[in-house]
Amino acid sequence: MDGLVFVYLSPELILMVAALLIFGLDLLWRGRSAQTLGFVALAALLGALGASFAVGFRPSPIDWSGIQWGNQVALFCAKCNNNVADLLYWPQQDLRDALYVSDNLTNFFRIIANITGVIILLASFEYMRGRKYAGEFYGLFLLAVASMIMLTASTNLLMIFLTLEFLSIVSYVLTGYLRENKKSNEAAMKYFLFGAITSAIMLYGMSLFYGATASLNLGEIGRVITADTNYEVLALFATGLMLAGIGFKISLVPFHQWAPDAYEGAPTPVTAFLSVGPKVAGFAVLLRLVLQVIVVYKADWVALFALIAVLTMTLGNVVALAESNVKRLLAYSSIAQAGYMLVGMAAISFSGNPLDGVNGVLIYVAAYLFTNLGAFLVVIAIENKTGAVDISQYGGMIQRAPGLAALMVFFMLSLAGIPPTAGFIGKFFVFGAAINAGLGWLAAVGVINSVISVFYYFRIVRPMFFDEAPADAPRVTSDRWLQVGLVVAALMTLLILFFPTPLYNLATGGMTIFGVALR
Amino acid sequence: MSSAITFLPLLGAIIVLFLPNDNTIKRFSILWSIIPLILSTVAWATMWSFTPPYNFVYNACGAAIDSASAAYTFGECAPWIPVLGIQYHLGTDGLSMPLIWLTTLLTTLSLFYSARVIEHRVREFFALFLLLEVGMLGVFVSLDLFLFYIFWEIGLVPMYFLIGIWGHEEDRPQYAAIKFFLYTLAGSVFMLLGIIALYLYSTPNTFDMTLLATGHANMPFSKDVLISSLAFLGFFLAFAIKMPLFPFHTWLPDAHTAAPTAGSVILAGILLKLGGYGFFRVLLPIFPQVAHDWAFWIGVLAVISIVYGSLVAMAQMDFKRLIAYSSVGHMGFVILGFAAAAALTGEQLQNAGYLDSGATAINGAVIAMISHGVITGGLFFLVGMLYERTHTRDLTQFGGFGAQVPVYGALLLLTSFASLGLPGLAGFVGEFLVLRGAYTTLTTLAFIGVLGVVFTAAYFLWKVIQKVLLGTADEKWAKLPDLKGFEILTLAPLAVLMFVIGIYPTWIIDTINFATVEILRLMATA
Repeated sequence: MDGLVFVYLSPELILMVAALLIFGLDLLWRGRSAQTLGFVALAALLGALGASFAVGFRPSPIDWSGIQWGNQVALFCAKCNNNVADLLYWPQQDLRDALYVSDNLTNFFRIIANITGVIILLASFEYMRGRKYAGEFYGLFLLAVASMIMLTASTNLLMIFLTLEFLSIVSYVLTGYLRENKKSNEAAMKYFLFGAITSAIMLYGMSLFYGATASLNLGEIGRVITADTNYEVLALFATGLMLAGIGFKISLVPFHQWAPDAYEGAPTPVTAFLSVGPKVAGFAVLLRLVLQVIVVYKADWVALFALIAVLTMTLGNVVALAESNVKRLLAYSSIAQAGYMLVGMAAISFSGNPLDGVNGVLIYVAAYLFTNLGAFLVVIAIENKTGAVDISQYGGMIQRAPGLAALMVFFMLSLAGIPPTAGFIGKFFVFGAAINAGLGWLAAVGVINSVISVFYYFRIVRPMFFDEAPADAPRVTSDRWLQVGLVVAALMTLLILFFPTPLYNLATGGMTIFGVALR
Repeated sequence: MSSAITFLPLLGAIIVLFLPNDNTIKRFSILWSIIPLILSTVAWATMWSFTPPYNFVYNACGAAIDSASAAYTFGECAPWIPVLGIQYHLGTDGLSMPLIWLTTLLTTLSLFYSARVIEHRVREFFALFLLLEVGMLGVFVSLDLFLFYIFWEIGLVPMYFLIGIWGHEEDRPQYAAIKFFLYTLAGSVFMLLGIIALYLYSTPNTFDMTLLATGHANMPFSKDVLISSLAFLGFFLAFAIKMPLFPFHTWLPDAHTAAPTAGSVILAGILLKLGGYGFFRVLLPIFPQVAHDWAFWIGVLAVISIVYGSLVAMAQMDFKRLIAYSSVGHMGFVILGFAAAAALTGEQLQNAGYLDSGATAINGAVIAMISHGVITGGLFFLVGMLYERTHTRDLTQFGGFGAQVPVYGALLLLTSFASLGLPGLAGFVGEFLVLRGAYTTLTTLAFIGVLGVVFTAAYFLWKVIQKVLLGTADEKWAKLPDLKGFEILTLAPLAVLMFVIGIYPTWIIDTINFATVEILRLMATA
């Protein structure tokens, strides 16, 4: 095996090694100096973020004078040279058995995942201070980020299943991290049972694909299924079954029921991760599945995604109207947000227009990531000082923490898709793609939903600004690290609106996905 | 210049956040808001000395845009999101300039008045108010639909807080605030879909208003009746809700009544005009065909607004609610002017007489917006001042104030007469011109519209002048103080404008007419 493989796996390897190091040190130090371990985790995430960028750039092939974005390789393929093959120069048919790819899509999600990790880690220092097993938390958290990246890079059904389970199991443990808290235990148990069932259903879908094509590789399955249209029913059925497992991660209706309970019971930094990480990774898998395997049966998957998108948006938004616990409310909000992203999936039109579904999903994901993390950081900051997670306890927050209250308005606007925020750019691309794909009605359902969502997003804002603070209510301050995370999230939420071009370029890099020529 | 006027208030809002105490904040905000007022006055004065095509060369976005936006002064253009062809494109013409000027004027007056009235959460109030001004000015100067939409939405949030935080407790301000927010948003999201559709169906794909207006003849869009009608509908909903046009007006009475005085002034004075501005800036030049097809029915809605708004106003016993409903009626005239111009057919647009009617209707509608801003702004100030003294707005409790507080009485009398359309005062000019313009194309509707003028006169004479000013005053008002210096100072510019516009409207109409001619030219080449 050549060393080049390790280079292309470096972002994940850095995280894994750091996680093992943290577990080891935690054992040696017997749980003391957990804060130091937190810094080790932070360093690992920043290192992995740097490595993701480094891996994503390729030297200019002609004169080696400059570098450009878009280094794409397939890993672990039988006919490759030392398990590494450049997607641009290697014959495509030799690459169909690759287990793992480091293509533009992977790199996009590597960056997304590592930034998610950094922001959440910054917010969890204060939360974890004085709690037991903080070291283990940091280690597990790194594993969660690593598994999320690996899920987005897998191009083989077995790899997808393994990494999905990896991510799930780490998530279960993190959700139940508050051992003395009954709600946390209940959340973890519910999450686990639900996950186990949906995994089984997904496995059945995978076995159908394998039975029909005698292959586990997405590329090979796609080749066989595309060649013979008799496979249409099977492909649709198997995709529907696989959607159970993926939809569980993304929290699509009807696989969303775990979300509110798990979000409520989990430690809030973990909730923030659940609302972003698995969801984002799930969309990467869905993109690969659609573009590599069932792409020819477009009418089927467009109808399927459009239907689920409508259900998911509407249910998430309508149920959220009645919630008063902020964490549960944001859980339903994140269900609805997944619906908007799925609109982008249904709107993949291969038209070559910048307003395309793949761009839409990726840009939406990035905009949602910063916005939702920002919102959760505000929730964490308030919870750390006051323990409040109910809307009614947010009274007079503008006096108690003017900065947090103002930022919360900003993040709520972004979640609702109202300018001047990143959320608006996300909705603009997604709904624009829908109109471009001839799904104007879906875009109309989407915007009506975003109007409904304003009602409950502003239910959080209302007491913060309109109610008087209780006389004995403490001022809310947060530690420096959380403030850094908040500033990063807020700045990105603003900058994506004013300068969307770099993000767009990263996302269109995602358009050239392994094995698929979209243009 | 356009950028400076638009973004100076934003800078002011940021500075306000860091000022030490309430008094400094108040003084600073007032003084700061005078800068855009001076700039917009200078800009308008500059505009007088030129006639279009202006040909201010700012060759940052290419020759096509330069030639398409020749009718605009103070143009600025820079690439923003190149992949979607979105530009930071600003410019003003005769349609937007008077509205920009009115915005800066009313903002300064509102801040000046609020400085004496607002004692609670001062910093937030003044910061939000300046932020609101950014949104309003931005809508008037944007020439790119993407930018237009962003500014359109920016104004929502400050207004939401202004109503919700400083509203009168008994009017359920929080309910009114979210109702205002949701109604307006519900309209504007469909506008967003319309904007995207315009982009996707234009060749080459563009968000630029000037290109869309001049190039629509070559667009496949104009051939696709369904899509263009749906896109039109999206814009129409946003503008009609903002105006508001019957039956989309139900947010207005709640929001206007609950808002603090300065908030009501801006709501009635400027925010409603955003809708009216959209009708003339977007619908008429970009969708002349669809606007023509629907002109009659839009005219019908306009006339219903006029008559229904006046009648409902007549039934009100709450002074502020009455003024709020009067806006529905007055805005109906603006839309009637739009419908009258849109109703002109291609052949009629070649005929000088019909063209003249169209121009009259548009000029009338725009000047009706300006004078409504001045008059209703004044009325809301007057209602606010009365409320500060009496702590009630119940018309049955008033009476005899003409003798009791003569200065107040005189100003209320003047403003009421201006609003009911007394010749010689501002309100008359616009409504007369609109009816004159509508007579040619929408004769029946024009006749019914005249009824609205009668009803308006009726409720102002009966409900405002008789109930408030005439009769004998209740004993509890024996010590009612007359207007103070700062209050007279707030109203004085508006009172002067009512006379000036009423007696010599030419100075505004000349400016507006440049834009009107351009709009009609674009319609004729459709």
